[in-house]
Amino acid sequence: MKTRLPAFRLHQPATLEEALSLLHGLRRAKVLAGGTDLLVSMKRKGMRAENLVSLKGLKDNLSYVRNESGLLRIGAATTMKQLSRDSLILESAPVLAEAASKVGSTQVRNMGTVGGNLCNASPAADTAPPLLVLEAEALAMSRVRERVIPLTEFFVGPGETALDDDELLVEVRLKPPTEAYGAAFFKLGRKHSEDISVVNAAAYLALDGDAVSEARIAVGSSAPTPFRAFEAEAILEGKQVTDAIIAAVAEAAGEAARPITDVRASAAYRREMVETAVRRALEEAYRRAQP
Amino acid sequence: MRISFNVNGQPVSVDVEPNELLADVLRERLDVTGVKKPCGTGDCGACTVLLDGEAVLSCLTLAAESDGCNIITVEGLSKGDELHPLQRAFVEDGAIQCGYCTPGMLMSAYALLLENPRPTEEEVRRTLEGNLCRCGTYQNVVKAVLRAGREMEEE
Repeated sequence: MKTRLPAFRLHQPATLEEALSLLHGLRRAKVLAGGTDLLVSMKRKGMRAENLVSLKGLKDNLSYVRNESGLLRIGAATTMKQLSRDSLILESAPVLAEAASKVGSTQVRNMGTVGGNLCNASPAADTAPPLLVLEAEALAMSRVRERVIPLTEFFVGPGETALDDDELLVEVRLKPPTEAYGAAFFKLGRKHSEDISVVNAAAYLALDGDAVSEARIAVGSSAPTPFRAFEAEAILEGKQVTDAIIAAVAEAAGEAARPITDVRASAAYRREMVETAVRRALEEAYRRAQP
Repeated sequence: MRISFNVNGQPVSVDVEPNELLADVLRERLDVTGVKKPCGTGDCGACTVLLDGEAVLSCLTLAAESDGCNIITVEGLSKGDELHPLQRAFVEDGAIQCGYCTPGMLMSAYALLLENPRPTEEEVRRTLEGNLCRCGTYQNVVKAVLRAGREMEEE
């Protein structure tokens, strides 16, 4: 079993400017944050990198949760543990804390970061569905520019993001909902814990009286990227939430999925489980949306 | 590159390659073999050490990134011949069979009790979910951690 790492040059910038300069100058350097995906890929999946740029020196700069001018801003180096316990997140985006608390294990949550979870871009990334239903955006910086990428455009394929080689994800931001709403995350793994999702999903429901005024559904681990199930969402618009409607929405989400068969599950099982995951997330979101 | 850190209260300095893992440096260069490395890919938790107070997987930590850090391994739990209450509880409650997962279990439990001296059973189980045991000692591990927590509070 390969448990040693291949050789590489390690760069440990002390400032963001230094880090961006390095990314610009080096050819396809990999960024090292918590290492819980990157180092495993290098040990197990033959991933090679000549250069690693470590974010450890920027931990203080890139590890934060702030509410600024109506925007919830989360530093990319914020760990899963921090996300799951942060009072601002628990108050204004608890579904994100819920998902973060289900990533891996205690140790992985101490080390792993939201930036890493998103940039590793596994379709199974657990922070993706909640961030998608919260309509989050990614702030990417390079030496020459800064841009905001809506999360719906961030994932391009399995393991691939919209970031350029010299761009660094520095922050994830979202507008904390001002309406009354309920949101929930559902993760199906082979075990209760320490597992990569077989299927995961998040649902966001806002009600106007009895009718749905806003519905957002995001599904992961069942397509090349985590995705918003827009057609499924449309079924809920303006409707009252009933078991029949939820079943129809779940079915539509299942139809939108393009799952694969891999070591964790078959495509057929995943497609069925997308329906279950969406149904459960919707039911819980609906419960939480009650005044 | 030269790195310096504290291991179980002792300052240490060592030259490491960028790709050397903390687990390997501790075990092979510093003879701190209480750190175990069964899987090497972060799945089993036996390599768990405390790094600046947090339980981390030393098999997925670069030694070069541990410069200036405070590291505690299972060797740092006991004071000379005197076992830590956690270690005593593990022995007395039959929480050790082959012993391979034990250092990792102890370090995860230690980190938990530092932060939450009175965990519920559910909290203990959740916290230790990243520590796997092929012998199946889980029931007794949970019992031992709960008991050690109570004892440590009384001390």
